[in-house]
Amino acid sequence: MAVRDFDLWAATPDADIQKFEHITHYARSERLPWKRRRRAPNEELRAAEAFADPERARRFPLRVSSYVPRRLFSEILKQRFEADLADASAHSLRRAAPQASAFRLLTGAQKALVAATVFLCAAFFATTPVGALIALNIGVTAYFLIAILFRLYLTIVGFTASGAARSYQTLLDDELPVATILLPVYDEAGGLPILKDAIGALDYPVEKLDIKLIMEADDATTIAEARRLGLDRAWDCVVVPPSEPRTKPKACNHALYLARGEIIVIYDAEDAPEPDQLRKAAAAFAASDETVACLQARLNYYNAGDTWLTRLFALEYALWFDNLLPALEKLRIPIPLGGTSNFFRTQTLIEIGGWDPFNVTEDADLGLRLARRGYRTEILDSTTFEEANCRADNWIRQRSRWMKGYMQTWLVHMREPGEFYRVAGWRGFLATQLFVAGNVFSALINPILWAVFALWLATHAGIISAIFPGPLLALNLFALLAGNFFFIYLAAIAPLKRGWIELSPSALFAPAYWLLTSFAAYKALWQLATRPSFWEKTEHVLSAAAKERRALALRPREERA
Amino acid sequence: MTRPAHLVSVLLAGAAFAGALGGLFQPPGAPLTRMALIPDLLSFANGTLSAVSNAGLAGLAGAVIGVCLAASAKAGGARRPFLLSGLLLANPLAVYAFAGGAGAALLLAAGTIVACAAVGLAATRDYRAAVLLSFALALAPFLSNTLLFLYPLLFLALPLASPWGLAAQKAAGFAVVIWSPFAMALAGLAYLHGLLDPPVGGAPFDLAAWRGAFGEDFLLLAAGAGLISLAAIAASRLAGGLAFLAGAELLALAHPEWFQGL
Repeated sequence: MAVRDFDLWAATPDADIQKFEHITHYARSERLPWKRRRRAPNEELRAAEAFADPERARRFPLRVSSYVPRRLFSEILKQRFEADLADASAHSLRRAAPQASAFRLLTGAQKALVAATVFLCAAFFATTPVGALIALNIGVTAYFLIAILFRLYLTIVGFTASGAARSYQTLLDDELPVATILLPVYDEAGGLPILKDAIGALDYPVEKLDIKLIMEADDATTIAEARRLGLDRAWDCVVVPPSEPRTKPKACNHALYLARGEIIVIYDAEDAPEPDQLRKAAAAFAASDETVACLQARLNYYNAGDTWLTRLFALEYALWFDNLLPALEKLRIPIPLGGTSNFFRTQTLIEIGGWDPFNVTEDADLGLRLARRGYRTEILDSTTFEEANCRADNWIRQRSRWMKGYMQTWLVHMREPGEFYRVAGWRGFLATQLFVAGNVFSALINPILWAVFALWLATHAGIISAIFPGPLLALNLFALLAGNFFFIYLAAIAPLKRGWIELSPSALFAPAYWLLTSFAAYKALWQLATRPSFWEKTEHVLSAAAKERRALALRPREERA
Repeated sequence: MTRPAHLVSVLLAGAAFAGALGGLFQPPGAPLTRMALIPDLLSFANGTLSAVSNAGLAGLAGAVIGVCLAASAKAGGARRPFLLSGLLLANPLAVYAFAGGAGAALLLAAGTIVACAAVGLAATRDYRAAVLLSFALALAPFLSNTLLFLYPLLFLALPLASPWGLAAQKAAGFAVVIWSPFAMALAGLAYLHGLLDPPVGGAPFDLAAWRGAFGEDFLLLAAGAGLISLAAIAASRLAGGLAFLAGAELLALAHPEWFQGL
């Protein structure tokens, strides 16, 4: 057996045998080729912890190896490929699959279609303005009626889906896979103590955790705070060099290449996952076939009751994650993922190109991309609690980013609508129109409709009556009244699954929330035209609940009781 | 399909069916008919279905009730099938309802739906039962109008009987969940009523007009159905709810006049 140590520091590595395209293999196997020898076994660098079991070392006998601590191995890997990592994390998807990237907002065909549509509409409006407005009215009414019916359908399906929460065989510690946790943070120094506590509370064997705290190189405050808290020793700190686009998905891609886990999960800085979430995810993956590439945990807020805004935010999340997503899953409709607590099979995620760094809702895009490749997403019966935005300005920043990202996502996936329809089926196609494009469209159109309605009530202006001929008026009123009532009621019943019935009265204020959403949508539309990949940062640790958590996290453990 | 889901789906379908039939067969000038958005379609449906005899309609209504009960019987809990079967079979109002004709049978269907929802809610705090109850309460006036007489009492009493507890915020939440479909339906229809067809003989809230349109049979049955809901939820125990129900029904049969003023 040709196993012997070589002197790492004396042996300059051969650059030509260290190939970036194999970096994920190096990271997961924790073996890095070091030097090629002509008449002797090649030299290899290994993470000592990964080879603590002599049996594993014996599986790779024809190497001369040098063992270094895991942390050092990781640092060497990062340094060796720093430039490649920076480049690949930003550009590999758009190079490999330009059609799947939001790097270009519109393709040539899309631009032509937009131009033709605008021209035809303008011509129609110029020749018969009332007719054009009636046609527009018919389109809008039809959209809302379809949206209402589809929501109703999903609600009924959700009722039946929710009764069947899966339970999986619990895995023993030895059977658990290595799990990589990605923690992208930017300007989050204040939230790090909370994050440290939340991740520390996860019930998972420490030796099977690969926790990557991803920071930006120019974010000195967060880096310093991470060091002060000792996170650079406890976790693997990945520092992403400054480059465009400055987005979370780019940072995640950077760390994805370095992941050594079989499964990978992403948490935001303010997340507090339920302690058994990782175990549940591991068990769910173990029990599923390879087509299940992703698990989405439910999300909700730990400060739901703070203000009217947080209450409505919590209702919205409860409706989406607790009621509608199980229905989408049951119907095998592509699920636009939420931005956090998504679990993936690492290899699958790498194969489909990771996250799109130019898309500001990379999660929603990834959910659809997975579906297009034939993979499924399931809902994990576990909740991650987050801090809900309690300030309107901060909320608008976050929401406008989501709206912009939804627009990007829709434009990307409608580049080949026929192919998408073929893969997703009519329900998936319709759901994508309603949940991705429809969310934005509703937000944009809602204030206009209400304004027209209010104007008509106040003035009974003839032009408004003219564009609402008899049956259309009836349908329009139905869409307006029944639709709004229905959505308010859905919000009211959404928290019942969690027993949070005290939040239900807040649903009556949903129209005000929708108005705020509309404002964010218009802001998003403006940004889409001017700064499509600009990542508008959401501030955290603003609420009293989060500050309390931070104060608690900063106390010595023995004082907490 | 899971058993609670089965129950909910069938009951919702039953509620919709009963509500639709009830609406179609109301006397001309009844609120729903007057508020019809597509009168021609309604007339067409009404004309077609008027060919069907009352006995046939009663049979249809009976089928709805039967389906609801069959679903209820599968709805989990070892005792529930027996209790729910007993609820109907031993219920003197059932016999009375069928003797009263199609309208009464339909009302009984609605009452059964309300009762099932209420029992389910009390027994399990199942949010689906809460939804079902809220829809049943919203649909009931379109079935008979007469349930409306009970609503002030139910409106006051139901939040106090919230299975989620009596804490003010929880009770308020329960009230919103239970009553918002009804409130929204009333608000929407009142608006449409005024918009499309100015009130003739009073708004939907005019109890005298509602009472005048329908007989006391409905009121009696409505009282029974409403009390079933109230009892089952208030008791939050199946057996207690049923005992309360039995007493209330006997009282209603013995002294129907007591319930007319509710």
